Amino acid sequence: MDKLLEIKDLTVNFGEKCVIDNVNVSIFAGRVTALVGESGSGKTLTALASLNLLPEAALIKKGEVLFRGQDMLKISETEIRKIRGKDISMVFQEPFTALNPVMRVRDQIKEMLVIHKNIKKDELDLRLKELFSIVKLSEDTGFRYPHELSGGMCQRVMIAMALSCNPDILIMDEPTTALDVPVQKEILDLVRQIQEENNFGILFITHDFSVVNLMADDVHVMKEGIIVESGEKQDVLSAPKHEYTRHLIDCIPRLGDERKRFPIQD
Amino acid sequence: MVEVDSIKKYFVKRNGFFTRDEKVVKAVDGVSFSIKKGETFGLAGGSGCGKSTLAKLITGILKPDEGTVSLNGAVDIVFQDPFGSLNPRMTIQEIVGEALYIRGKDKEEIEKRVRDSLRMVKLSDSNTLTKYPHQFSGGERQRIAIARALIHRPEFIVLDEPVSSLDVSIQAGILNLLKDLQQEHSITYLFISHDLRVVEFMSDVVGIMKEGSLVEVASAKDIYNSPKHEYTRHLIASIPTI
Repeated sequence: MDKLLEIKDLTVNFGEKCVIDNVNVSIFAGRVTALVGESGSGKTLTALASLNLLPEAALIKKGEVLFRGQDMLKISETEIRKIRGKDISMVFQEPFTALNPVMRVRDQIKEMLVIHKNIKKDELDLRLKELFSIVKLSEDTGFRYPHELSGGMCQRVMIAMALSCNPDILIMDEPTTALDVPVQKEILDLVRQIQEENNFGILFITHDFSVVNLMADDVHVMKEGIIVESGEKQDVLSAPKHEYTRHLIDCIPRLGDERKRFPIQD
Repeated sequence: MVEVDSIKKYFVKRNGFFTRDEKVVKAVDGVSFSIKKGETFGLAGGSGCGKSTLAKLITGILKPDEGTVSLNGAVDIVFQDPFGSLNPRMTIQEIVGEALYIRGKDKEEIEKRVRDSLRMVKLSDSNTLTKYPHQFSGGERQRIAIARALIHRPEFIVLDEPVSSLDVSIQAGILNLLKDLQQEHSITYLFISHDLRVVEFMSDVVGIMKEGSLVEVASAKDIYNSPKHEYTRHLIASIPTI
């Protein structure tokens, strides 16, 4: 397997409080690595660390984030800006807040291409056309504003934007949490399909094990800054070793559920 | 207990600030159903199908253009977003007890009933009362919203996507709580969600809503075992299995 990025022994503090504790996660080409945990478990911070986007209050105690032989935590801001959005791009949870409300969505995607790639106007139009077809949006959609689109359409725009520069790695932070179940399935199927064609690696952040089952190859379960269990999806789902993993799986509602209550304590 | 008879609500939408182009949106287009006392009617459908408008019509926040809603007793509502639905400048005591202040109850009685309500949702820490919403997590805030709905002991509560913005593990706790409350106090629920799994878990009878209409109504078991409408089958097919 082709390892694209490696988070090694990462430890991050907020003041005295340790929020990421000795975390090891790798992202591979053509695979989806899922980081699963509840809100506050440190999963988003881990993703932000891999882009060197940690908030100022965060203190990196230990560890490195290796991408193409460089430590992302040590290279200069100018260098990392060339990587962010181009080689490693990110899709956030709330498509409405992530998009600029006063700019047509096509122009927002175009902006990415103009900043990161020195391409000519006719090439630019071609690439935009291609991107809209990849995320299965009509080209007319591009001339509309975010508020005129549904949540699912906005998330497709975000994905088009993230893919615009052919990244090696796509980080997706709860990309479908704000969407309806049917739209969630459409978006996740679409992402996997695009991944098969382009072979980039995905770091997928979620709190929902049913989404893990749909998306992931490798799974890391995170609790209070610590990875409590790691493994391939099948193994983790069929035989969870850690109590907390089992708890998260137990909380998933199932169709045709015989249970009257969820087997959890108050 | 609850009887909804062919209610309709249309909205007129202008296509832009300067145009006279108008479009009629049939948010709720002739919906009828009834809920038995102590039971849960679950409403599932995608966003924009009219389920929240229906919730507002039933609680009287909106008036229907046509049709009637008849309720036996008090009704209250719990909304989706526990961050937007609680006034950030009010303490928990003020939020949960507001309906009683408005009715001019005396202070001691209000405090006692607020404590009772909070105990029912298992938030009985003694200094909860003087805290503000931002000091609580999403799940705790939703418990506060439920406590507020419980304050005047409604017999019927409309739950409009009460768990969709919560983590699955927090969601499970809230769903358990709602079931317990229903059993202890035989409250009737209208439970609305886009997630058919959650609706099926909570409900006795399930209605599938699409473009303002109920396309299928059946018992929770039948919806899953023998879905009749194509849209119901589509909803089921989109659910991630585990």
